[in-house]
Order: sequence, then C-alpha cells, then structure tokens
Amino acid sequence: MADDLWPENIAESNLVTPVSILKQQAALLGERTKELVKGEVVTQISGTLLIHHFCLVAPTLSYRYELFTASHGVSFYPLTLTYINPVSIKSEAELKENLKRVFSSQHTVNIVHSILAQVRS
Amino acid sequence: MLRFLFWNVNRRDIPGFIRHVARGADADVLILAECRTEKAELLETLNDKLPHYQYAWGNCGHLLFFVRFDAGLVQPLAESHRISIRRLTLPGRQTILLAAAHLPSKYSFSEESQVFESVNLSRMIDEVENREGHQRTILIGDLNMNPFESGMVAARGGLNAVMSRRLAAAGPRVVQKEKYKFFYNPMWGHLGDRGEVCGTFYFESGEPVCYFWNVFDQVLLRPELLRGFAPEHVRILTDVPEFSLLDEQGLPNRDMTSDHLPVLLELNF
Repeated sequence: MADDLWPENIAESNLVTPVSILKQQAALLGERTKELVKGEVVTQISGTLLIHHFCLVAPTLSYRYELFTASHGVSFYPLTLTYINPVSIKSEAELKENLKRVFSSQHTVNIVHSILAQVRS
Repeated sequence: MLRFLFWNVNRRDIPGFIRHVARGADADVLILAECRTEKAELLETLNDKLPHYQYAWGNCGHLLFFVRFDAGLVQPLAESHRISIRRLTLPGRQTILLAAAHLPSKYSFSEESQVFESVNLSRMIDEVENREGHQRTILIGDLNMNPFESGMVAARGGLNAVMSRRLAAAGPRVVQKEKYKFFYNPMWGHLGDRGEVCGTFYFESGEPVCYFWNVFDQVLLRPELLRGFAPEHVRILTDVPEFSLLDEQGLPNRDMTSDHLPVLLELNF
C-alpha cells in the first residue's frame, strides 16, 4: 500500500466561499420583497477563474438584470467585484462591506424599485 | 414527505383564500388552475407574513406553480396551453416528473374530444419520460373527466390509469401485442360516500344521466412512485383550519371560494 503523504486535516474545510455569501444575500432580497424580486447567482468557470454573476430576477415577468460580477481564483481573495468599476477585494470582511455599499447605492435601489413597480403593474 | 396541492379556483379573485388553503394544507408545491389573480398580487399575499412561496416560472397559460423551495428546482420540460410537465430535482431525493394539466371542460368538449385531449396529454408525458429516461411521474390536475371515463382508463394512447395499485405495479399492459405503461389512479377510492364529500366537483342537471358528484380533479402516479405512497396520502380538502370549503348543503362553496375542491397529495420519493 502506498504511503499517504497528505496531512491529517486535508479533508477539513470550513472556509466561507464568496459564492455562499452572495447566495445568502440573493435569498435575503427575495425575503424582503416577498419573492417578487430575488437575487440569483450564476457561476461560470473560465480557466482557473470563478466568475459569479449576481442577477436581480423577477420570476413573474421572467426578467433578469445582472447587477455585478465577482471573480476570483482558487483561493477566493483577492476577488474582483465589478459593479460600475472593478474593485479589488482582499478579505471576507471587505467583501461584505462592499456588498453593503453596492446594495445601498441609489443605482441599485432604483433598479430594484423599478423592477418591483413593473412586477406590480 | 412532500405535499402537492392542486386547486382549480374557477376564475375567482381570491388570493386570501388561496393563501389560507395553501398554508392550512402546508403545501410545498401549489398548482392553481383558472387563477384570475395577478401573479405578483398572489405572491405578495402568499408571502404576507413570512416568505413562504416562490413563483416557478412557466409558459402554460392555464396553470400557475408556486413552490416552497428554490423555484429553479422545478424546471419546465414540455408545456402547452393547458399542460405543464416539469422536472423536480430536490436535494437528497430522486428526480421526478411533475405533470399538471387542466383539460377542456365538458361544457365545451364532447366525450370523444376529451379522449383526444387525453391522448395528447399521454403522448406528451410519454415523450418526456423517454427523454428523461425514467417514469417517476406524478400527474395532477383538473382533467375534467371522471376516473372511469375512456380517456382515463384506455390504453393505446389514453392515460391507462387503473384503480388497482397491484395491477399498476404488475407491469405494462399488452394490447394488440403492444405494451402500455400504467398509471395508478387512487382517485377511484374517492368516488362515493366514503369521505365527507363524494368528489371534487358537483354538477346537477336535468339530463337523465347525471352523476351529481364528479372526481375531475385527480392525482395519478406511475408505479415507480408507489413505494412512497399510501391511499390516505391523497385527500380531497373540504376544510382547512378555521375554514370550511363547503356550503351549508355540503357542496363546494362556489360563492365564497370555488366550485372545485382542492386535492392534496403527500409523497415520499
């Protein structure tokens, strides 16, 4: 039998991935709008890069709007968040801080309000 | 146990009642036929206190799907104006097919025409099952036929839906040397006086032949799904907590809610 050269803790991973943070926020938007507008994260792989597309979705209209993308390599950070301009992000805390900024921006709020109005009309 | 609720709401604008029935029945999948309420208004009503339901997009003009999980897990595979066949992929469960239908009513279609509708529905299900490579299929909806009618029981194009679980499980039926897959139709057990009501829809006419009660709203299962099913797992709902769907005569309360009663299926798969 071959020697196992892997360390004891090789299968133990409790890292929080950027995509899980994005998906949590996507679900929370649905809860806040009674599921009229929800977030959806679609991941695309390009070489060693993971690109997460964060979309606003109105299921009753079958409408989708891409709000931003977040892309990173295998070790998550640095991550590039492209909302209006690309920003380089170095940690989970910084990602959350930037997401809060994106979600609270007048541009985002206007888009969500417009989609909501469209859904209700 | 997943809970599927189907209700033909008879073009009534009754979002509050729909919410009450869906929540009262603890439905995971809610399928509505003849729903006049705007989808957005219904979604807001269903989710007025807590976010329970998501709208599962589809292209079927007659049916609306709401689910209590990620709507992306219920994907339309084949749809027409009155039929929607979807793939339901829930984590930790086998993928199944959920076919829903609202077939034309007896007001506008003769029995012969209804048989042709049945043949079309059966063909659509067959095609999707062949493409998907399995037969774990639920058919639920207002089929506008009773379980004993030709469109329900006939093989060679019909739904081939039998009253006996044992028969359905015994394998395909051979007619003129060709094999036909069975559906098991538990709704046979809901005809007559066994329960609080004798059917899902009541219609009285002056014609000599009149059944009064009809079981138009039905749940059919392929034998592959019968392991997770017991007869008591399909019910015609007559009430939900603090609210009856029947009037004083014990008939569907068409003035308050709908002339059809909802059907609830619980299934393990």
